[in-house]
Amino acid sequence: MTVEKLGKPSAPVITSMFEELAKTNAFKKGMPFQRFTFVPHPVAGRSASVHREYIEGKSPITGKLVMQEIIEALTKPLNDEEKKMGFLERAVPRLLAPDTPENLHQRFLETGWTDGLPIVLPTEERVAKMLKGTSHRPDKVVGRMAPSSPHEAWEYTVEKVAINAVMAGAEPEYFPVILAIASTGKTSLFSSTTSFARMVVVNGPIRDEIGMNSGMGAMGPFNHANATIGRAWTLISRNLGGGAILGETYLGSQGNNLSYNNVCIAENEARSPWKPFHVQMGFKPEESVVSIFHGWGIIHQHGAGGVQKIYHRQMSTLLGSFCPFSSDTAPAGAIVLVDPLVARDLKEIHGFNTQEKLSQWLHENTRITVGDFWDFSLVRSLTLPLAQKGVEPFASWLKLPKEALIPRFPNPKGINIIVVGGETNAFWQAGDFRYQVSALVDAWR
Amino acid sequence: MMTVLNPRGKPPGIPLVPMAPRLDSLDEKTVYIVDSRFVGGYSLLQEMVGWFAKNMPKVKTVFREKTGSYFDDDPTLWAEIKEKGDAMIMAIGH
Repeated sequence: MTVEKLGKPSAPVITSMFEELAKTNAFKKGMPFQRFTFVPHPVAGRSASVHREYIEGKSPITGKLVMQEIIEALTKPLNDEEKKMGFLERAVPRLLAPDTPENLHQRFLETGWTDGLPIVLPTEERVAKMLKGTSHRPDKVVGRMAPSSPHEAWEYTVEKVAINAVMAGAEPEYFPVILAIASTGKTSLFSSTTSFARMVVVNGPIRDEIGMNSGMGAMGPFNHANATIGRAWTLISRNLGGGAILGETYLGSQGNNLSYNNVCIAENEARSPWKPFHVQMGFKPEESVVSIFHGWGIIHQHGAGGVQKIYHRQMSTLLGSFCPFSSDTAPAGAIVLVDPLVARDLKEIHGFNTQEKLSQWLHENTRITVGDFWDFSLVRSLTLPLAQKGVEPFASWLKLPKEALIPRFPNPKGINIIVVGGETNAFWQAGDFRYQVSALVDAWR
Repeated sequence: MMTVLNPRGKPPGIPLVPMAPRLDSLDEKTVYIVDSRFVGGYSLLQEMVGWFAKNMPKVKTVFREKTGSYFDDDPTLWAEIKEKGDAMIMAIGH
């Protein structure tokens, strides 16, 4: 599209799986008649001879010869529609037409405004009650959110966040937490074929004020605040963040079950031997903060450390299975969720008297060969360009022999440790989640 | 009967972008063939370069890999195409 704006005709070629996405995106960027040519899917992982067949063959969408379509895209004169200029408004009414509750529930479900579960219908009365949970005006802009960077970002107000918070079943006292999450502009339904998930950790006094769970069962369906705050983020991401429309703004091939609640937990600060996560990130202990993480999955590590309680070595083994790619916005990272029993053993038996020391140890001891590192397709797509631009340590790693060992996580700060759990047993879990951003809840009270 | 608020956010307005005028023909023209650097695109486009050489030898093709990852912009390349190219074909593998 950039090249078209420079006065040169273009012919984008896309695989047939993404026809709807490509056309919708072109529409949203102002070129609804962009001339795409579609080849069979997939291109990745196919041999040169298959690619030759694609080029010499027909488009699976139009049935025309691929190269004929490409040449026509560049040479066929523009029609009147293609020459149009102007501005398209996309208005959204504030109120829906009155209807019965049953019909409204059906409409919300069929229109894709829910997570598939029943919602609380957002009447003006319920939304007004939710708005009492904040001192901010309903028309104040909270943030902007897009499914991922190529997509358009939608702007949303306090009232819009309140509507979705009501739908999730949240209470007004949870609203500052939900607003803080919304203010980050991070969608919980990131559009990628890899099926990302997100996670939110809450720190500070707000946890106890609103009755969040950081102890037994904190990561499970046992607490109203944990459940509805996490759910509200999903609904906000669907309805305020540009859509989460399957095939258009959500492409996860399998989806991610964590997206129902986004692992919404409170950190167990009272039972932790370490400083809370938000204090590690530079906030004051008395501040209430939400922190967002981005990844794919969480794995439980069975076995309570054995006789020697070598949790850290077990952690290194598990973290050693995570994809080590780094991009310019997401350095390689992991999250380790430790029960307070594990945290105290790590401190008292193994001398990890801070999380930073444990992160440093994991950074030093979780290694991979250079050859294996550069073999990951995501590393080649996202980290190799950084190396080629001279970004360290990746640039230096290009020059190392294949058998040389390098840290899987180049920065120990990429490995974050959160204390959560109710001490019924000394377990821990870890996920390939990378820290993204934190936001102050207190700013939204 | 019940009235509820619309949960949907407001998408931004869309300024329409006019498409560039098309060429009469590709013969004697310079066509940039650009790999966006998604997996598989390089190989697909190499086959395309070969197709032009065999079937339309009067078309001058210039193959380029976009800088950075598939997310990154490449203003230097676009400027080169504006100055030296007549058209662009770009592929995104998957």
